[in-house]
Parts: sequence; C-alpha cells; structure tokens
Amino acid sequence: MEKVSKKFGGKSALDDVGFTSFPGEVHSLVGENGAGKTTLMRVLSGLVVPDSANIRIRGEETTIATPMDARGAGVGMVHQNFLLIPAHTVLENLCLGNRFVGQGHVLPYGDVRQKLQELRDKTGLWVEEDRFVEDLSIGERQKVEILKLLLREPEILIFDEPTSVLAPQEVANLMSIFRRLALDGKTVIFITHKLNEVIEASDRITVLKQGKVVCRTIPEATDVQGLSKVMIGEDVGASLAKTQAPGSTVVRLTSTKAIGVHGEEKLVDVNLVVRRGEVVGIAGVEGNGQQELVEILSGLRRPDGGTVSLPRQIGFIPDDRGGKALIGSFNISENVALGLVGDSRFRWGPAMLWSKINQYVKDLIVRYGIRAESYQQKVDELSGGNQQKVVLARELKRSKDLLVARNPTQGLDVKASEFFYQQMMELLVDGSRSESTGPRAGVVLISSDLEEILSFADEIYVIYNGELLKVNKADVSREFIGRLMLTGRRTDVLSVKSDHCYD
Amino acid sequence: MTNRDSWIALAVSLSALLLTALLTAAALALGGYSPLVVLQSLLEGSFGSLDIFFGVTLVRAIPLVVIGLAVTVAFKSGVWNIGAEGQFYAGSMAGVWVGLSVGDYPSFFSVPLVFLSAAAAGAIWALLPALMKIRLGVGEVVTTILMNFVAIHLVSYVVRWPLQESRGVFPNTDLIDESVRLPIIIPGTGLHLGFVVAVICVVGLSIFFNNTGMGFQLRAMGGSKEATRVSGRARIPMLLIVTFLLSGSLAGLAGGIEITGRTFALYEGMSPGWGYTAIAVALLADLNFIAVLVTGIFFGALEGGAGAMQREAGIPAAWVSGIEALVLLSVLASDRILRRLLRSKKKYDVKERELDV
Repeated sequence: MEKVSKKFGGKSALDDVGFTSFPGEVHSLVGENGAGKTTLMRVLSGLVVPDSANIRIRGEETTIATPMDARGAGVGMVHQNFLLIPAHTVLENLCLGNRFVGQGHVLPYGDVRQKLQELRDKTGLWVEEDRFVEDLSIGERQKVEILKLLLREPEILIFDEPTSVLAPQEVANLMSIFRRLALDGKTVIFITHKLNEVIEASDRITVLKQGKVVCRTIPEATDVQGLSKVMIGEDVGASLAKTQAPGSTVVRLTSTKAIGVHGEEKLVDVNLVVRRGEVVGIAGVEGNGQQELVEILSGLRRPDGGTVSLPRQIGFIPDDRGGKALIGSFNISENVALGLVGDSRFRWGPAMLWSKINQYVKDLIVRYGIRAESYQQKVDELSGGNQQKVVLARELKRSKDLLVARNPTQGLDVKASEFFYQQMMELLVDGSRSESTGPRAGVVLISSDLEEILSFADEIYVIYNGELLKVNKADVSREFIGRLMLTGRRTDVLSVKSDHCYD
Repeated sequence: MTNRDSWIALAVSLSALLLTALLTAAALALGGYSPLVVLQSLLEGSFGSLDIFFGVTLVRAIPLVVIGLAVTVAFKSGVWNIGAEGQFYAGSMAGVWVGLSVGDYPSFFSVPLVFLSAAAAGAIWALLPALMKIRLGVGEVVTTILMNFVAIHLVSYVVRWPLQESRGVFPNTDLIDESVRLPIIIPGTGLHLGFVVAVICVVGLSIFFNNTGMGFQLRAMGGSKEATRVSGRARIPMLLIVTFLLSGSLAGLAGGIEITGRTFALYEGMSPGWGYTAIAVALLADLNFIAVLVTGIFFGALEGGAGAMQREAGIPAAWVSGIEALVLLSVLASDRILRRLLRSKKKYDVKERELDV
C-alpha cells in the first residue's frame, strides 16, 4: 500500500501512509488510539474508501472499493467485535456466509467438516464444531472467527486488536496460531497497542502516529520502552496543575472488584481515594476496566466485592454520548431535565415545573454556547460537539460532590474544551459557583488522552488489566505513564536497547 | 413536543387514512361493489344521526379508547405490550365475579369496587410478563401474547363451570344486578357513564405523562432505556413494573366498564379482538393520549358502521376487520415514508450546521 490518505471531516486520519507486508510474516501495526491503525486496515479490507491510495497485492495493482473486492483479493479481517450467532452451533456459524462450498440451498455441513479437519491438521486450530457458540469462552469464539476467515482461504489476514478481550494464556495461544499461519505462507497483520505482545510475536513492526508512519523496525532492534517512546512521542516535561490543598474524602474504594458477564475479572482489588478539591486522573488504554470503574464511581453498578463509599450528588459524563448520555428523540430541555427529575427546585410535589426548567435551559444554552434553534430542538439534530455541550451543561450542574468524567472533551473544539476545563476547575474551588454554597467537589477524570490527564490531574493512576496503579509524583512523565499504560510495568525488565528505526 | 412534530404526526395519520381509503376502494371495486355506496352506508351507520352516533359509535369507542390508552402507555414507555386482549378479559372476569357477588349494595360503592377489581386483575395479568422480562430477560411481546390465550381459555372455563348462569344452559354468566350497572348519560341512547370514565382517563394520563416526574421518566425510558438509567439515574426495573401495571390495569378497567356498562354479563368472544385493534388506535394517534380519543371514536365508527354496511350494501361485516388491518399497515407505511422524505432534507441541514461550527 502506498500513499494512502483519508480525511474524516476536516481531520486527516491517514496522511500519505505507505505499508508493505510479505507472505509468511507476522506484521504488527501499532500506535495510540486514533493513530489510524484501524482506518488503514479498513482501507485494505474495503470498509473505508480512501481519498487516494495505491494498493498492490502480490505485485498487482488492485482497486478495493467494497468488502467483496477485498475478499476477491484474498484479504480477510477479524474484527474486534465478534459477528457470531450465539444460539447456533459453531458449524452452523461457519456455514453462514461461506457460499463457496454449498450447492443450491443446502447448507454445506459435510464440506465444512472436512475442511475443518484439514485446517486442524495444518494449523492445529480447532473448536468442537457441534457446540453452541453461546457456550464458548471469548477465546474460543475468537477461534471460530478465525476459522470462519480461514475457510475463505485468504492470503492476508488482518486482526484488529484481537488480544484486548483475551486472558494471558489465550494470548499466548493466539500468538502461536499467528506463527503457524505465517509458516503456512500467509500474511498476518496484527493491530494492537500492547507492546509486549508486539515484541514477542512479530517479524516486523510498523508504528503509526497521528495518521503517519513514524517508524518501521524489527523486534530484535527495539524493546517495549523504545517503541512506546516512538509511539507516544518525546518526553516533554509534564507537570501537575496545582490547585488549593485537597479537603475531606468524597470517594473511597477499598479492594473493589467487578466481575464481567463471562465471569472474567474486570476490576481487581481497586483502591482509590478522591478528596474534595482535587482532580484524580486515570489514564489507560480503552478496555482495561474503565467501563466497570466509572459505573461503580457514578453509583450505577454495585461492586462484586470490596467496599465503596460515594457522596450524594454525582455528575457523570459517560463515553457513549448517543447511547448513554442523551435521548436523541427528546429536545434539549427534556435532555437536561433528565438530570433535574429529583431536584426540588424544579418540582412541585409529583409535578415537574416545565416553564421553570425551560427558563433554566435557555440560560444554559447561552452560557455554554450551545448552537441550537431553541431549547425545543431535538438533540438528534445538533452536531456532535453541541450534543456534548448539552451533556456537560447537565452534568457539571449535578456535580455538587463529585464529577466522574470519561473522555469529556471528545468531539469538542479547542474553545469548548477550554470552557469545560475552566468549569471543571471551578468545581474544585469553594463558593465560586453562584447558586451553590455547598462544599467543593472532587473530580475523577478518566481519559485515553494522556495530555488531558497530565494537564489537569493532581493525582494520576493508570488502569491496566483491571488493576489501578498509582503513579508517584516523582515518576510523572509521559514516558513512564505511557509504559505503564501499555505494559503495566513500572520498571523495564527488558534490557534497554536503542529505539532505532529502519526504513 | 414541538409544533413541527405535531404537524408531522397529524400528516402521518391523515395520509394513512387516505391510503387506507384508496386501498379499500380499490379492493371493493375489484370485489364488484361500489365504493361510494359502501362508504355511504358506513357513514350512515356510524354518523347518520345523533342517536346512532351516541348509541352506536361512541358506545363501541369506549373500550377501544380505554384499551388504546393501555397500549399507548406501554408503547410510549418502550414496552411492547401485545397482551391488552388478555388483560381486558382478566378485568372482565374479575369485574363480573365481583359484580355478581356484591348483589344490591349502593351503586356508589359497588361500581367503583368492580372497576377497582377489574383494574387490579388486568394489572396482575400483566405482572407475570413484567417479572419474566425483569428477572429472566424474556421478551414481553411473546409472553403477553401467550397470556392472551390463557385468558381467553380461562373465560371459556369460567362461563361453563364456576360462573355459569343459574339455568345452566348457555355458556355465559348471570346478569349483574341493576344497581351495579352504569347509568345512561344521554337518555334514549345506549351511551353510558363509561364514556366519561374514558375521557377522565385520557385527561389524567395526558397530565401524568407530560407533567409529572415519573411520567417524564417513563417517556424517557421509551426514548432510551440506557440513557434513562445512566443519565436519569432511574431504576429501570421499577419503571418497567409501573408501566406493565398501569397498562394492564387500564385494559382490565376496560373490561370492568364493558361489564357494568353494556354486556352486564361475561361470555366468550366478548371482545372482537379489541386488544389488537387498540394497537392500531394507539399507533394512528401517534401515541398521543388526546388523539387516542379521536382515533378510538374513528375505529368505533368503523365497527358501528359495519352492521349498516352489511344490511344496506350487502357487504360482509368481515370487511371492516380488513379495513382496520389496512389502517394499521398504512400508518406504519406512511410514517416511514414521510419521515424518510423529511429526513433526507434534515440531514442536509445538519451537515451545513456542522460545517460552520
């Protein structure tokens, strides 16, 4: 692939990216969130049409405009979210979408069974084909996805963050499958941001940063530390923003546990203290337990172990704006009112005082600079940034004791972000909020944006594999936190090598 | 709700009716009938005179309106209660049993007691699907429909054994005492007090949903369960229980009203599928409580006019069921079509707006 460019809106997701991979190798594609890894591979698999690109597969100039083109060219992708039907057996799932063997309308059970046997002999990859998918573990489901892909006999296999859902033993297993596939002459492209896996498993490595290739290397020439430096950038002297001394404790989590739907541990003995007047920043790669942590902190979920003490008035900015924060078919006023149902100022007995609410919302629209026709406009019709402002307006007002914010400035432009930060900092100070005489609040800022955390947090933690790791003041640097986010290790156990890049 | 939304809702309903009229006319013409003659007899049979309007159309509209409200409550809150038919029968059974038991107590005591027990029975009938949804995650569409069959067959049992008339000949109950019957509000017609009850329900629910905190939370749950849980900090299981109980008790109340207002006894097939027709009533009204009163009367007129249509135009009354089904299909179709037309324009607006931010 050469000269691949793609813009979303005005933002460049891929900028003149070149990427080469050979048969028989495991090629890792690494980078931060939003670096363009997935977009690049979606171009290759026909899910994203690039603005410009030169793609050659096996030396031949190829145009890939649809997933069918990609399939024809022998490219297959295993997605982050599995596309399996839980109520069907493995065999039935494998027959689905694999028309190549069937005759007429008869499902090709026999053919698929035979092919599975061949694949088992060749790659050692096997799942009992008569079990129901809903009874399988995550790792086994992933195997089914891989088998589904292999049945199409692709030459190039792309795995989009396959290890984010797996337990360590399953990861090792997957790595050996990669190896066998490569030995079989396939090209395996492995998207990840977990660097230790990259070093262990790959033959070659390409690092993307902000839509550009910043490094091409081989594992022998680098190590986790070197890679993370290339990935995140140079160590700029980060400093903690200083506010006034923190007050009393508002949140205390002691050995808090959370168990996922499949019985896996999502949070492992988390200890966290948040005091009034301080911002606690939690950095981490998505999918390391943030979801469970914010639900516990905002009082939406009970822990599966340990003790939790929370204050009464909590504002919560969730990450999924459309799904969790707003009701698209409701207008701005009604969406703000979601946070006012229990507020006695806007209630008269069981009745809601809509005229008062509407007046209040009108003020918020002006104060937060929400671009809307009126408070009666449906939030569906607002742009993403303005929708987020509606959420911020509602939740900041609720945060009398605590604000839990997850990626709060997602989709906001610089000006709106600044405004949010300013409002957030005001929560920490006594008496600055006009209508509140209550005590100042504490803030928990959970973000995958390290910059945001470094700029505003008084205390920094890193969440890794469900564990909350405290970052000591002396250790605060982009490099240290970056390594902790990616490896969970405070110190390098690997010997320090250069971060030399080949071209 | 903004003005614009109300206009869209009205446009959807009206274009659905137009579509129905055209389809029905075409079907009638194909069947060899004159659409105009049929329309005339239908109108005469439902709106022909004040007596007919009050005594036929409005009387038939009462259960449709009240059950339509039950369906609206559920759908507005995001609960697909298809079991209004069964909840209606549960209410009818409880109503007739209490009505027969109270004998000749004063009306101001016995009639509210019948209403209460009918509503309670409807609510209990809806409780099982509610618990199955909350505890086990079983979809309410299936469970509420299945509960309909249980209720229908239970009625068959009740009118043959425990509550069969004292003569023991026909499969129906004895008539309830005069004192437990609803008074006629317009003398000379069959229009009973049940109509007033229906109107009170319309107004009460409209106020409840638009002006109270809990009503707002129910509407929010209908908009997005997840946002109501996360941002509204609402207890979804509690709201679901409220929805099922309220919806079920309204459908049950309709049974109590029919027993005390029109049939005075319980028999098989008391409802010609009102629980299902009410879904069309609710959807044609775009889930607006006030509009349910109008669409309920419209469907009452269709059913009322069916008899006249049969007598005068020689059309089998079954055609009316066909027309009702067409209304439902047309509502669903024109809703999608109109919204798609409007959306293609709106998308453009939004894009423009995003660009200048």
